[in-house]
Amino acid sequence: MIARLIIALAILALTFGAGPASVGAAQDTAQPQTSLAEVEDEVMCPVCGTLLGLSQAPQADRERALIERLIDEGLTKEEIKDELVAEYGPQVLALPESSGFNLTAYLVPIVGLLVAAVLLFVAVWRWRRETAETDAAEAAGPSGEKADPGAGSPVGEGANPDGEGSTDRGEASSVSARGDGLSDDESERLDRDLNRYDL
Amino acid sequence: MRRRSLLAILVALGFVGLLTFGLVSKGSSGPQVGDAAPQEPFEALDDGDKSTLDDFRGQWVLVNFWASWCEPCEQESPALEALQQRHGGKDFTVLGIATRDVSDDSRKFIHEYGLSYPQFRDRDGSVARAWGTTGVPESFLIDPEGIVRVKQPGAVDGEMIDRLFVPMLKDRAR
Repeated sequence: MIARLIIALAILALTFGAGPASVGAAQDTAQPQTSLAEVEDEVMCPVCGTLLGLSQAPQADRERALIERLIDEGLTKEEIKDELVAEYGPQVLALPESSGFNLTAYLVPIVGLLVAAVLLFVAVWRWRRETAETDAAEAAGPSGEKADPGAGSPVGEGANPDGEGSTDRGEASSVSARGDGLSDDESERLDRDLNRYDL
Repeated sequence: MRRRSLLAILVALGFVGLLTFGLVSKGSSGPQVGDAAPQEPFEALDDGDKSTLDDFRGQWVLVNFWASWCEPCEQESPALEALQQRHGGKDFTVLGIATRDVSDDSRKFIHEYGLSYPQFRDRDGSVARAWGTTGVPESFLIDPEGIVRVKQPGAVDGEMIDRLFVPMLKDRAR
């Protein structure tokens, strides 16, 4: 009688004791908060030096198995990454943390781009200024020549105010004293170009 | 012209300098035989307590880098455990360092192969880099003064242990 009572009580205890435990177990295998694909795109294979998603190394397989266990435990992506850092160190993260010295990984490229943009702007500005100065100098050159009657220009020989004969004027303009067949205009422009490029 | 040439030369020298610096720093390959062993700290697998090789000064130490996912490590483990059983004690110990391994996997490996010698972990590979390892497994025999006496990349077996390590250990007894 007593034995039967004990057995009945034991059965009852198992039945009701398993209830909360099974509910608890169901709660332990919680809803996944993330997926393997989401995590492995943001962490590295420490041995291979590549993104975990790209690696087929045995060590990568172990890392993936760990991540899957942590996903089954209901950890979020950030919590899983924290666990991986605890296992492998901060180098396991594909992106450095945005704090402390690691912040330079983000700041240096931005600062570098800004500096490059400023340098480019300054270079273009200076080039445009030099070009404008050169054009101004070229414009001043021929007017100096036109004012000189001794240059041999056939101005007085049937020069046409409508512009005809300008070809003749050009052909008859004096050859420079260099003796290299260049006109004075061309010779002056050559000198300016040579000076500009410091040759 | 001279200013631009000077600038170009300086830039070229700068690049050459950076390249040289990079080559020199990458060229350091860890200790060689006859060098002092690195003192990079490693943490105990069980409780995370930090240690260095200095804590084992006065005894011969076979430092063995391994990982649970490494098949040659599985092959050599019985031989290393046999060595520990035969010669381990006050004057000698094998010292295992699990590098870049999941700690649970490392513990399972130790349990599976019944490894009784001290085990540490190298979370991020910094210890392995300091020792200049080229992979796993890799073993270093260190004398009581902390000098590297044997450097053996790859798995070891009983024959290699008897040929490379045991004679050194027997010499110490004389």
